[in-house]
Amino acid sequence: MWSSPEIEALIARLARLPGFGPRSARRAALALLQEPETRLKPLVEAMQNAARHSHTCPQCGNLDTQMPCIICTDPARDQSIICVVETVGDLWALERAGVHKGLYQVLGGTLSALSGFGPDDLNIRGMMERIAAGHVHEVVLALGTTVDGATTAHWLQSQLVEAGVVISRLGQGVPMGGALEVMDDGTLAAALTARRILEP
Amino acid sequence: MQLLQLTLTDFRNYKRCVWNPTSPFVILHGENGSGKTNLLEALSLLAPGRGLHGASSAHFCREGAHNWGISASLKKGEHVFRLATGTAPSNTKRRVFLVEGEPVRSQSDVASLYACVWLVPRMDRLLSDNAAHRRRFLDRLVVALFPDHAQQLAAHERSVMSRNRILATQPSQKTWLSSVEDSISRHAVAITDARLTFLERMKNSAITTPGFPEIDLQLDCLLAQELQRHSALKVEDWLRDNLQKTRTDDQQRGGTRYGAHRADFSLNDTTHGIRGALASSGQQKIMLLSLLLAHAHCVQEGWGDAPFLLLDEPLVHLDEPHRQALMTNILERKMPSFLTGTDAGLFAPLKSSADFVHVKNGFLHPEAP
Ligand SMILES: Nc1ncnc2c1ncn2[C@@H]1O[C@H](COP(=O)(O)OP(=O)(O)OP(=O)(O)O)[C@@H](O)[C@H]1O
Ligand SMILES: [Mg+2]
Ligand SMILES: [Zn+2]
Repeated sequence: MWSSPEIEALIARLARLPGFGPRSARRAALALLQEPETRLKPLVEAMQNAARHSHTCPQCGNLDTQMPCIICTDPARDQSIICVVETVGDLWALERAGVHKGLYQVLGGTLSALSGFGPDDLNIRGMMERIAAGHVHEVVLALGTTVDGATTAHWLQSQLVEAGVVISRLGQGVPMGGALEVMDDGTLAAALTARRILEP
Repeated sequence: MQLLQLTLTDFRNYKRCVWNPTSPFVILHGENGSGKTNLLEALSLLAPGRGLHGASSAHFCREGAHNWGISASLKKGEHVFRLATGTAPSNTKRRVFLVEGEPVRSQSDVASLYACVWLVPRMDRLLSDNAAHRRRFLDRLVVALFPDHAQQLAAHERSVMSRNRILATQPSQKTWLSSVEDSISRHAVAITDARLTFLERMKNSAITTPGFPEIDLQLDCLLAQELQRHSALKVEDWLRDNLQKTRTDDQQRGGTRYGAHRADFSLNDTTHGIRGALASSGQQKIMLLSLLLAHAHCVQEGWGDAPFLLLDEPLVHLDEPHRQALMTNILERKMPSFLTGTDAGLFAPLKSSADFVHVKNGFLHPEAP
């Protein structure tokens, strides 16, 4: 080994991040260390801030530094339509596409008997309370087209039938086995615009 | 489809091997344990799935190495592309596919680019043994014609496993069970429909294969019977209903009784009136070869490209006339094929057209034509 344990520890931490491998982690560490004033220190500061202030929104499950999150508290957003997504990454992807003007519900996963993620683990309480309060007109199920995503959509639909809300699903364009997070903005926007109302 | 180049890295007994076949017909010969079957396995692994041994990825890596890779340069029509599979750089336990060096999003993307079918000695009694092996064989043929079938199968399998797990661990989750059963029903009907369409295509494209018997392939499956009488939506409802009704039973048995995983097929020799299930090893092999040759023709009709035929020890169990007929058919129909055997002499009829490769201890020695 030709670098100190501290630097190796930094590289090892970076390498565990999604999208990083050992090689890119090494490159990133080098870039940070070479320019401590303009790269490393501002990053440390940004990370510390994020670590100190970010929380999971108690209403929708989004990640943000304010509670409830910036989306839940935005008066300009349509409170009567909730878009259900699997992960915060999916929420961000939809926001990037900029087509959904309502609220979100982040499930935190999809039903998966094989990995032990069941109905009780789905984060839906915030949405159910909003529906019970009579604020919601439509729920859009924006789940990936994986097997577990489809099963979760079916399960949610059964839960919502009684609630008297319109339930819709992303339209065509989502490839089978596809996750929202990796789709391009245009495809996402088209899928959301072409959403289909599900018959009870 | 044509193989222009194959590169193996730390795969089975191959440390590093770069090979440029000179003909669409390849004879791999060499002594026991030299690596003939391993090479066929490598070609089988370029398609999604566990390859011709059904082995787990842990076995692919050469003993002592940590990463393995198979990379092929292929020609389809005028289109030349590179397809590769192996361990992911970031996680050696995960297997990935690359097309032109880029990771693929879904396995159907691979299945629509590359198809192969195989016959290995282990399948000598396929028609009379284990139904699961038989079904997997059939589905491989279907995938070569309908690449999406692979994804449907994977989704169906996952849903059935999920149902079994929920029944075993939390049977009171009725809504969850219904959702999973809905998934099983949708995928099972799609799968059965693909299998039936496949059978029909095979019937319509049937050609006589000189020296081989006429064969009859039948699907033996409750769902298929339903689908032939009712609409797909009706059959989905029927299946959902049955799955719900059999929950208690299935919970006790620890399995799922209804679904596409209960299908079987029968293959019979109509020229001689022999039932596959009762046939001898040689007779079974002849029927299966006849089926593979017909299938290759059918795929070629559909896609303009025949799948690779991987035949491990194809001459064993065959009598002299059938050996000759097999080689003649492969040649005349120009089917890209990879054949193995310990004795190169037996392949003499292919001497002037095939690429004879001597396999020796994990190395390939092409012979000058
Ligand atoms: N993961 C591995 N690492 C190293 N060697 C392996 C690995 N897996 C298999 N082998 C070896 O590869 C060798 C060749 O096997 P293969 O089945 O290809 O032989 P073959 O040429 O088909 O022989 P036969 O004529 O007996 O069928 C075997 O000796 C086996 O021990
Ligand atoms: Mg062998
Ligand atoms: Zn929120």
